[in-house]
Order: sequence, then structure tokens, then C-alpha cells
Amino acid sequence: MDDINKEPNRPIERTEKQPWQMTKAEYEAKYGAPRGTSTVTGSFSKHKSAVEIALNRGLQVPAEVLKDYPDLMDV
Amino acid sequence: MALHPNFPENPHEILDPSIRWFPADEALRNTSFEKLLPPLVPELRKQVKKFRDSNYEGATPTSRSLLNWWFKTPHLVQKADSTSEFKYFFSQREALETIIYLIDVVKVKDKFDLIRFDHSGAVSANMFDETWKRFVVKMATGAGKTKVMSLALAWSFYHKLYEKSSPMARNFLVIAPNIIVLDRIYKDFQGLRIFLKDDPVLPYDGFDGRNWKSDFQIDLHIQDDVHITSPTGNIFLTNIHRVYSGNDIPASADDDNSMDYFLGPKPTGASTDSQVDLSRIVRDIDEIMVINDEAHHVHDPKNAWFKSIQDIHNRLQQKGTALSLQLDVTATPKHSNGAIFVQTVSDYPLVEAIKQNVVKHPLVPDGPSRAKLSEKKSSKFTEKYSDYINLGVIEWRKAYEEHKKLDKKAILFIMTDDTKNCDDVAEYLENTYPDLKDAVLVIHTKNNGEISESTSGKNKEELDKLRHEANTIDSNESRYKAIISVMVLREGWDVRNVTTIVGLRAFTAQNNILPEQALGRGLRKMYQGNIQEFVSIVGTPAFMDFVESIQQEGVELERGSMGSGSTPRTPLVVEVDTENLKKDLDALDIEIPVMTPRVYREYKNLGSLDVSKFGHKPVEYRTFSDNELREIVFKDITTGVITHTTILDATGMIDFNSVAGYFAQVIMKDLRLVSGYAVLYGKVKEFISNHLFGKEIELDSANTVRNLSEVETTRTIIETFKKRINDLTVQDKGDAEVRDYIKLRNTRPFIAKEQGFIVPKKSVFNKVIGDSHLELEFSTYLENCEDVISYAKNYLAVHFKIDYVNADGDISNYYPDFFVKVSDKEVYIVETKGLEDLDVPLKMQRLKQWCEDINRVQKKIRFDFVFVDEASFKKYVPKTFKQLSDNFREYKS
Repeated sequence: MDDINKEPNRPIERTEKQPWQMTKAEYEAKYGAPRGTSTVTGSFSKHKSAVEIALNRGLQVPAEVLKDYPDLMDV
Repeated sequence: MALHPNFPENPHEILDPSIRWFPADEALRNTSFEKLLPPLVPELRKQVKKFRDSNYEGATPTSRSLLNWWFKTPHLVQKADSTSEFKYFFSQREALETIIYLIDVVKVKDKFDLIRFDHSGAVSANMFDETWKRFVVKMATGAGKTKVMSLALAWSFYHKLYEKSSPMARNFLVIAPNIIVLDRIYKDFQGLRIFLKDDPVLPYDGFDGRNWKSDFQIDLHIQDDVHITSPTGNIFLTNIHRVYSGNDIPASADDDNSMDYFLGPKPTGASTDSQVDLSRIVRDIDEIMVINDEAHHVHDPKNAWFKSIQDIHNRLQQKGTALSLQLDVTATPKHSNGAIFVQTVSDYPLVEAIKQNVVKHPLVPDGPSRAKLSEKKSSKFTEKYSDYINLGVIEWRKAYEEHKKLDKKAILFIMTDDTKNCDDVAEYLENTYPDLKDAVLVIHTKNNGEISESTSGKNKEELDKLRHEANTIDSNESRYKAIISVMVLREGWDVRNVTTIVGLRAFTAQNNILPEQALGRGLRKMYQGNIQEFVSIVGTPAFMDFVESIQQEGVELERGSMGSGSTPRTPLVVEVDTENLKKDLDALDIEIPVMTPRVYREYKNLGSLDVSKFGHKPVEYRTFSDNELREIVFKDITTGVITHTTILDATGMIDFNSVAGYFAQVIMKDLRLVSGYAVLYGKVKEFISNHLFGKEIELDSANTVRNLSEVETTRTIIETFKKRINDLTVQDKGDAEVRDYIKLRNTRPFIAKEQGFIVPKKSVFNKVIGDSHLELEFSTYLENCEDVISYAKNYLAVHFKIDYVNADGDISNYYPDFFVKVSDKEVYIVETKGLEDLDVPLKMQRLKQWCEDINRVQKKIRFDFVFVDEASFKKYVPKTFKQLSDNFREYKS
């Protein structure tokens, strides 16, 4: 886990893909699968959340990323 | 107990502290007012009013920008075929203003800074259990607390980001008391939609010189699914159980309620299978703000929720910082002994929310209706209470039929005293009322609180499904029409369509439930707008006594006749009168052609605006003194309301871009342009730089910005641009064709405020409601005209409108008042008018043109128009429609 206290001024790695630019498989390979401990309805996925936030920001999410979440196509 | 006679119905109107509700007679206003309200609130309201009236003097630039953006800048919402304006309620505004006033102006550090607002003399330091900053916002159920949470969160984020030495935070622990409340908040926070998409929480990039949207880099974490925290900001959204630290959860009265089965598991500690423990993360962070929803749970320093927050604060203190703020939102900030949380800084009571139609009006049976009810002598629950259940079903059925016309489903909510009786009632409903067969949802709960997820036999999927069914019961796709529960759905379950509540149990102080919580599930409104809606409440005498105790809070329970034969208290429904067999709807129907618009806006032309050829009268460029330059205020050119303020910073630097952006926004708003900001912004800048003053001027100069704040200069910029943009972009096609036809009998039902109406014989509609008395008089006249076959009011729901160019040169929509059919081949469109305004001649000119166009492109029906002014109509009183059309000739030539 990265800790914001330990690296308060960490520069953004611009060459690295952002979570919302990764496919679900790429994301989980790097950060691990959802813990499955969430009890909100429909469960919670960090990756899906990152993709949804990017869409709500108006960012161009790659089509191959959206393939993992067809329900986000309308967002 | 009554509200002040001047208390407004409009929930957006600014409320003067002197007209706010208080729980005593008007005569006691001057003596008891402060003692009967949250003790800090009366004085805070006065101080916040001064703060507001001074254009937020003393606020940081960040706070002032946000307050101006949220509450003074129009927020246009583009819909499929129209544009509307979104506004926050005043109660939401006042809550934010109060928080910001306390942090920015008062610089509250602890309870002692709050106590000074107590003028009752009843507050002491011992009443504050915490040693950190804690503000409580009290808002009635259904009044929009989540919006307040979102605004407070965004404000704290930007305050910390933009203001040196800010005491606020960019990390947020948002805590819900249980899973169902968590689910509700998650729905709004999912994908950060409340910030990025649904509400105008974040200003656009460039507003007041900040890149607000781009800078809002914040990550959302749900419960302990955290992975990594963001260095720029985090929202940790969780139920309280995941915040408890490690193995030592202190005993709490809250552990002994009956919600577990339905609302989710009661944890035995932090999640055992997590590699990352949320409770540890939030204790390791250097800055954090805690936001508690349904915060009445944080009522005791001994309870686990309070101790968890205390623990977070203590850890921060060990690192030399502190909890930046604990913000509690709740409708009922009360201790178990009824005492109000002294930390309450803002209050929007239920009585005010009902008056402003922000929530439904509670309706109880009148004396005669109640006298018909009695408890039967039976050991079987449903036999004993059959009178009450039956009355509830009758009331629900009436509401169900009315709302069905509007494609909404009314819900019956029954509360029982234990799970066995829940089942008994469910079986009774399903077997007694055919319309409730397979339509009853039972939320099983137990009173002892011992059932947990692991022992209940319900797995996660089943619990998910149960929650989903309860949360989506409003939907027409849900088969459920009734929901039965032990009285545990006291918060979080916030559906909108409950129209009838049946209470079959008594409540006592031991239940730790307040009447507002019991009624709360039925208070949320089904429809938008200032429409009066009702929730009917029936129940046992003990339950009704409990409900009636809400009158101590000022809520006036309306009483009405209930049972068979009584009229349903639902909004006025206007619909096609299919139930009236005496009406020949085919004969009464009127077919109205829809023409393609003649006038339209050519958006792509905006780039060809030539600001050098505007032909305006150059404005004098003045030189201002240092004092005059310190604070530069822009005012609305028509209302004089301050709309934008620029304050010089210590370096004397000024950001011209924000001022140019302000003008571009005002022009766009006035012209209802939804795109083209970037083009317009450049044009405004060029115009000001080279042409406005008749000479080239320096843009990034305080003197220039000060000149721009002069009313004459502001008016010149805005009005010149509007005129030139309209000249350039508003075009007339010169022709129109029929695009479609509207048949009045296809009009969807719609609701209206309770008002006067007539029941027509010559209209396809069941009621004629009028915007004015003249319209009702005119309808009565048409009813009596022998030469009128049928007529109809042109309601918005008919969707007939004509585009026209208004007095400002802008495109607008004109909705004529009436359609009158005098034969199968002749229809009149009638405009009735009391007082004429500048637009009336333009509308009538356009209506005349519309008639010419339609009569040219089709010959089946001849269309004509009549303008009826009130004075002539009352003076001459025509006896037939022909007399009217022959003699009311204004605008005909």
C-alpha cells in the first residue's frame, strides 16, 4: 500500500498508464483483485470506480477498457 | 406554534431570521424564541445573515468563489428539448454559509468559540463531549442532506488546496450508520457523480482564475477496499462498523437494535479478511475531516461511533495536528432524553420543509373517521387490528389509482411489533386483497439484534437482493406494492412513493425512536416542483398518540375524512376525461399541427462576430484611487445584486481572465447558449481590450477591472454582445412545414397545485385550471357558447408552442392559451390577456404568421386567432364565439 504520509510530494508518473486506462486484467495484475469485502449493493470495484470517475470527468476511456464494463457505456 | 404569516412557500427564497419557525406562540417570539431552538442557532442565523449581506466579508477568496458559484451563479440544465435552472434550497445554502462563517470568519477552534453564540445562557462547556471541532447540521428528512455533505466536502478540499494555513482537509471519512444508508450515499457518490455530473458542485475551470474541475483530484474508496490512497485527496465512504479499531469495540446501546438482518452484519471487529484495514488507514492520515450521515447515532461519548472518532483525533494529535472538522448531518440531533445536540449550528425544521412543499404533508384521519375504528378482541394480530389495516388499504388504493394515472406506483407501508406479526399481516394482505397478491415485501428483522450475516442463513446475495427490492420498490418494474416491517426502517430507506403508513404498534421512549423518524419514510416527495403532496397516516390509538406528539415540533397534522367514499388527498390530476361516458371524446378532440420552427439560432456563426463593428458608444476609461481598487464588485445590471467580486491580493496582481469569463458566462446565460464559451470568451477579451473604451487598454490591470465593474460599462458589454449575437445568430427560415400533429386526447395526465378549476362539458380534459381568473371566466364563457363544439386549455403537457423572437431579440417559446373548435373545419387559437407586456405584440404577430403558414400548407382545417383583452371582454360580453371573433380584431390587420 502506498501511504500518502510517506510520499506527500510524489510526482505523478506521466508515462505510466492511469488505472482508468488499464483493462481490468491489467489493473488486477498490478493492484490485485477486488477484496470482495464490500457490502454495498452490487459490490464495489476500485477499477470500475476509476473508470466511472474518468468517464464522468469527460475523459476518453479506451474502448478495450469499457469492454469490461458494458453497463458504463451510457455514462 | 404557527409559522410566521410572511413565511414563504418558495424553498429557494432567503429566509430572514425574524420569520423562522419557533415552537411557541407568536406572542412569545420576543421572550422564548432562543430557548426553544438549538441554542446556538438563533444568534448564528443573525450573524450569517450579516455575513451574506456583506457579500461574505471575511471569507477566504476560495470560500467566496465557491459561495458565489453555488448560490449566486445560475446553473442551467440542458434537457432533451428545454433548458431549466437548478438552484440549491436556501436551507442548504444557509448550512454551508454557516460552516464557512464559523471557519473563515470566527476561526472556531473548539467548543469555547461556539459557546459564545449561545444567548440562552443554558449552554456550558460540559455539554460538549468532544475536544475537536464539531458542527451539527439539522435538516428535515428529505430536504437534501446529501447535497450539503457534497458541498461541505468540496469546500474543505479546495480550502486546503488553495488557502495557505487552511485548517481543513482533503481526506474525508464519510460514515453511515448501516449498510442501507451507505448504499444510499454510495448511489450519489458512485463515480463521484454528485461532484462531476449530477450537481454544480465544482465551478468550471477558469472561474475566478482557478482550475476547479481539473484540480479536484480525489479518489473514492468504499469500506476497506482501499488498495492505494491518493496523495491529492481521498473519500473513504463506509459504514461505521469498518471504522472501529481492531479488537476492542466498546459496548454500545446501538449494538442492541434489530436492524442487522436487513441492514447488514454487525461486525465483530474490522474486516478480518482484509489485508488493508480501513480503521488503520484513517488513523494514519495526517489530515482528515469526518462527515457523519444520520448522525443522531453519535449521541453519547460512550458509544463506539464517538470513540472511533475520538481515537482518530487522538492519533492526529500525537502527530501534532487534529481532526479538521466533524460535520454531522441529521434530521433529529437529539439525545435519548430529548435534549438537542448543542453543537447544532444550522436548523431547517420539518415544519418549514412541509410549508415549503419540500416534503409531503402528513394527513391523519379526522374524528368521525377515527371513531369507526376499534381493536377487536382476538389473539390473532390481524383480526385484532383489521379495522386499521383495512382503512390503510382503502386509503392506499385511492392514492394508487390517482398516481397510476401519472405512471407512478403508490406504496403502502405497514409497521408491526414483531416479525411473527409481520408474517401474519403479509399473509392477511395477500389473501384478503386480490390487488396485493404476490405484491407484499416483508422485511424480516428481530428485536434482539443477535442475528448476524453468518448465522441468519442469509448469504450476501440474498441480503443484497432484499435491500435491492426494498430500495427499488418505487419502480414500476418492481412487483411489490406494500412493504411490512417491524419499526426498524427508521432511516436510510428513503423511497419516494410511500403514500400510506399504517402503524400497528406503540412507541415508547425505550424504543429510542422519534416521531419524525417514524414518519420520515413517507415524507420524501414523488414529484418535482412546488406541488403539495400528502402521506396518509393511520394506526392504533397508541401509534397515533406517538405520531401526534410531533406537533410539539410545530408540525400541523392535517386531518381529513378517510375510508370509503372520501376523496383522495392527492395532487390535482388533469387528464383526458375517459371516465366520463357522457363525453364524445372523438368529437371533442382537436388536432393541432406542429410546424417546423421558423426562427432558429445558427450556433456556428458565433465565430464570425466582428467586435470591431459593434457600433456601440465607447465608454469613458476612468482612473481610480487605490482605495477604490481594493475590492471590485460586479452587479447584475437589472437587479443590482452583487454577482461577482474581485479582491486584490497582497501583491496587487489581478486576474483579468476571471472577469472576462464572468462576462462570457452572463451573456451565455442570458441568451441560454449552452455551447460556444471558448469562442465567446475570446471575443469578449478582444472587445474589451481594443474597442470598449474607444482605445486599446491594458487588460491585466486593476484599474481596467475596476472600470469594467461600473454599471454603464457592464451594461454596454452585456447588452451589446447580446444584441450582436442575436442579430448574427437568430435567423428566420422564411417558411415552415407541418412536422407532426398533436391530438389533445393523447395528452398524458399531469399534476397541478391545488387551485380553482371548472369541470368542463366541452373539453376532452376532466378539469380546466387557469393561470388567472380571466382564464376560468373565459372557459365558462366558451362552455356557454352555442357555436363552440369544443375547446381546451393549452397546458404545457399538450406540448404546443410557437417559436418567436422576443423583445430582447432572443428566441423564445410562446404558449397560446386556448384552442377553440367551431366546426370540423375551423379552429381558433385564443390568447387571453390581463396586462400587456412588450412581448405581446411580438407573440401575436408570430401567431398570425403561424396561422398564415398552416393555412398555406394544408386546407383540411382553417386556423385563425383571436386576442382577448380582459377589459374589453368584461365590457362587451359577447354571447357567441362568432361575436367574439368578429369584434375582437386587435392584431388582425
